Amino acid sequence: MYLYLPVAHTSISIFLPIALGLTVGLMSGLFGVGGGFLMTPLLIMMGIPPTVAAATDSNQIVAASTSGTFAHWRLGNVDFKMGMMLLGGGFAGGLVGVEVIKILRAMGNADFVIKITYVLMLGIVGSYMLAESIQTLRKRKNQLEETVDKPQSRVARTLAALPLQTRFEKSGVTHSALVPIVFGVFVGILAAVMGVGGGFLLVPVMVYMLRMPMHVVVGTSLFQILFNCIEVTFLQAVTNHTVDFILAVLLLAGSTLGAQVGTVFGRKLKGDQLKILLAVVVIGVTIKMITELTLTPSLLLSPGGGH
Amino acid sequence: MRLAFLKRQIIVLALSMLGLAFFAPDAFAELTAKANHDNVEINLNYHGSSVSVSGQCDPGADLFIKVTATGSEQKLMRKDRVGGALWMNVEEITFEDTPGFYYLRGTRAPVDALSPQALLDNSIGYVALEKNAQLKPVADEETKQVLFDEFVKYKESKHLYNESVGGIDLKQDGNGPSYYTLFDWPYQAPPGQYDITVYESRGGQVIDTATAQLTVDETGVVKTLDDMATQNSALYGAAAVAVALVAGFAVGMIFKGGGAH
Repeated sequence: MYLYLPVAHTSISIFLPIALGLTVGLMSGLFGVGGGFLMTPLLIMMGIPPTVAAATDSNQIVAASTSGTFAHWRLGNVDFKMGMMLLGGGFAGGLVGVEVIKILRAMGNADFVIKITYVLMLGIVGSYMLAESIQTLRKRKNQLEETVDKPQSRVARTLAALPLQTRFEKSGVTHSALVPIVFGVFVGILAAVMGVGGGFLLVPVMVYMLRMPMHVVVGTSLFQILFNCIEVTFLQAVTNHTVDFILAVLLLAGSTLGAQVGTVFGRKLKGDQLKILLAVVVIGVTIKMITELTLTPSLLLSPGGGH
Repeated sequence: MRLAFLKRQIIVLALSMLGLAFFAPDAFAELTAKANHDNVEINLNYHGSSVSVSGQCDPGADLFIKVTATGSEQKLMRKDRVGGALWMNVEEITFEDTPGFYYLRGTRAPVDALSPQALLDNSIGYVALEKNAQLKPVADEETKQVLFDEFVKYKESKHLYNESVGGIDLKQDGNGPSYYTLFDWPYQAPPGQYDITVYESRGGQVIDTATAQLTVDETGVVKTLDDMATQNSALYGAAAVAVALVAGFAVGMIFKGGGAH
């Protein structure tokens, strides 16, 4: 059974985007990521124009992250205080990121810069997460969370010296309010450039720099992604007319269910196991992007504009 | 005697004319073209269509049926390896005088049936398209040829270009000699106006042409959403966000596996 997508101007089997949404929604509930770094390239592979893929992906992330945030809120996993600060920074960063994209497009190679950004960020984040999680699992002798009883690193001491120290009760950590705001700006810029929710960047920041427990990280990350993607979806619809409503509905039919299932599975897994799984996925996507950049493409011409 | 001879000649001539008129009624049949659709409607379940072209033709002549879209300029990015390592877009190429959609079907290969000038004058075949196209900024013919080949590869991968031999049925019945062909109309072909041109050729020259038109239109929900996305984009964006929020909440309410951790 096929449906015609009015904005993408292509026809697609309804089962493909639903299955894709289910898979990415599962990741959303499991890891607290929006899944855009996986979904957008897969949509492009299915024949969706890159600009429509990125914009519509943001739309479905709203649904999946609403479903996931709601599920995690019920479980007590959302640190709203931390989330609002990350969000504030993310909004500002998103506005800057949109301007960066305009400049990159004027230079004529936004597509390449975006891919290189993907490779660098995903590669660094994925490798670090994998190495750190394996190391922790090897040293682990009991069920305590890794954030307990670790000696303070230099970074942690620097963060502790910053002004506006604030207690985040839900996460059980104390940090300067500047930390989530500044990280939020950085993530917001990268998220706008890469066309993603930013979860795969925020999750490692919250785990390794802010030392938040993994399950609170998941819920809080989804909360931030939700509002970021509401902003991006609306702006893309108004500015670029690239949100395909039919495609978004098909994707969210799968992703909202997937997010719920992912949340259930996430409760059954330890934080380190979740990190390793996410690291493997992130590294897998990085390898795929590296092969796209280094192997001879089958077509030497591509449409202008891009992601 | 002379009169009898003349009478015999006149009778033979008359009989010959009658024979010609009876046995070769369509020796000079006019070429016609008719598509089974005046328009192809893109609705919510659209996944392509089929378009047949048929009409009267001359027996023994070669036929070429060409379907093209209006519009004549396209811009694509050219990839190249930079620093010996990474493939990236290095420049924008503008392909002028090239249709966005080009389907050609012939009873023989165009280069075998038509003279080079006839191919060029009527834009029949990829060879003629390449000669007529202007690529900017491309200076030499060799680079133009390479890039145009890549252009055709790209368009064929999108099912927007196709050149083939065969698939045209020729028959003769009480109505005279006729032709028929069926195109699988790709769903990738965008909405718009398409020109169908049938060429009849003999001796390397085009001896007759016939045309028909085809319109591809969005209808129903597809048209409503597409129009709304461009003309009421703020409302469209707000609706897209609202639907996503409601769907997310609804699923969250259905799956009530809650409780604090």
